[in-house]
Amino acid sequence: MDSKRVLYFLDLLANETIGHESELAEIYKRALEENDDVIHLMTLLSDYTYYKGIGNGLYENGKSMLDMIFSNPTNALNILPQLKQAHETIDNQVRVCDELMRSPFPFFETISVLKKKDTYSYMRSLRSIASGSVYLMMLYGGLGPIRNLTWDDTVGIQEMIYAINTKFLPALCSVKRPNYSWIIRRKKLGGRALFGGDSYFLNYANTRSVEILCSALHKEPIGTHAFLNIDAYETGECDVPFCWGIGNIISVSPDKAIGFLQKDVATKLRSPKGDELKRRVPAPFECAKQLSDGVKFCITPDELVLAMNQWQTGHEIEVRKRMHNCLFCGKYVNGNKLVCPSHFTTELR
Amino acid sequence: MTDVNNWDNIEEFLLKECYDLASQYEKHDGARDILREKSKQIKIPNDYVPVQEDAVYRETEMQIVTEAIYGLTLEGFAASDNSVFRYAHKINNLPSSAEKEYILALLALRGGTNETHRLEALKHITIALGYSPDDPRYLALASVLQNVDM
Repeated sequence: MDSKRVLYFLDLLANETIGHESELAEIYKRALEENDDVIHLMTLLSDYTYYKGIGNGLYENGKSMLDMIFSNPTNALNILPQLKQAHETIDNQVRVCDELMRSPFPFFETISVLKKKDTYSYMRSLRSIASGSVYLMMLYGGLGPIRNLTWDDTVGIQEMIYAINTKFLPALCSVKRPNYSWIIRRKKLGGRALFGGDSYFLNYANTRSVEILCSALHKEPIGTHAFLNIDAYETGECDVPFCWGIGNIISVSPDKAIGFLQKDVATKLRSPKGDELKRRVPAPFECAKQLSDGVKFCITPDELVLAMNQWQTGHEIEVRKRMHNCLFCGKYVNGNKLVCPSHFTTELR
Repeated sequence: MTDVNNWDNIEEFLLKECYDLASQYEKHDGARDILREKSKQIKIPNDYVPVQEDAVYRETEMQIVTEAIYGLTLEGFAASDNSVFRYAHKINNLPSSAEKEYILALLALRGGTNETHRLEALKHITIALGYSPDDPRYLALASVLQNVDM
């Protein structure tokens, strides 16, 4: 039966009854607990978390409505409209806050109430956004845009919301996205470049034309925005795109990028050492990983091509030295000479 | 999407890219749904890549250096050449660096391989080694240049 009717009949009964106060109070309590508006308000107060002045005000108002109706049940029919208004106000605020939390754009309004069971998901998504934005900022702008950013996993959701909306997303939106993609090709070295063997050449080109050029190649991703031509890597084929991409090369995936904040990050790679030069140059990402000695890195394609050339040419030099081949033209040379005597003339001879 | 150069579109593109990346790597179902919902609310046509008017393309050092090395390769291994090298101006305008000095050493030898050129090349490769002492290319060239008369 409609609990309002029950309350109405209970009022009539109470007016005509002498004594039996405890029994009547129990029946009133049960009638109120079965009232939809009371149930809804009780659910809102127990299942939601209230934040800041607005949230606390809503909570206190709802709680005082429940206290009032339960302590004065004979007046319940008069209190119920106010109680209904209280839960409708909370409902409205829940909807507004939920929309804000799911909005893709930065916002500055106060989040006053959130469903308790959604709070963890919201906090996880905020952390992911922070990490993803740090990744994209490093990808497109290097370490500069993230220099002043900090993230603390131990703070509450309000601090996270503030950090995302006032620091991370505005910083991301102010990053300049490169208009051009980089493309590295392997080519034969020689002539007046002196050293023989292969070398890597860096170029920049319109992103769309690079995509079209490389669309049919057998590729493997290097991170999220770069690719390696598997066939060219395995066969050593020259003059075709070897690897290409947009922006920098970062040592971690987007979900781990938040670990770059306030940490030492390598932007330069060391030169390959003797033992390493005995092996052929590894795939680009592996090359960067080995030459950063396990330190997190964010390197430009310039830095990558430099490291790859040091390794590629260094390896070729090691092989030619071992085989007594001229470092320049590849012909056999006697003794410990590195190049054919014909490549140099000297007045001192 | 009427104006591809509109700043707001680039901003939205970056936001959408951030939510897409984040949702791709998020393992928690609830958080992933929120991130996907955020992304879905930004309507950008498939394959739309914005162009920022003020994100100007500039030639990088390694692009100039590798182009110059390729230019030297294409010249072949003929006799010394006194003609102006095509990339000389770009190389000279680079800020001082190991790679610039390495190219200058190669350019010194491009002009000839007699004692004057050898010493000029040695000077440049020594500076390059000062910047990057373990670069195997610089070490090898320095060794070649030092041992010519041995």
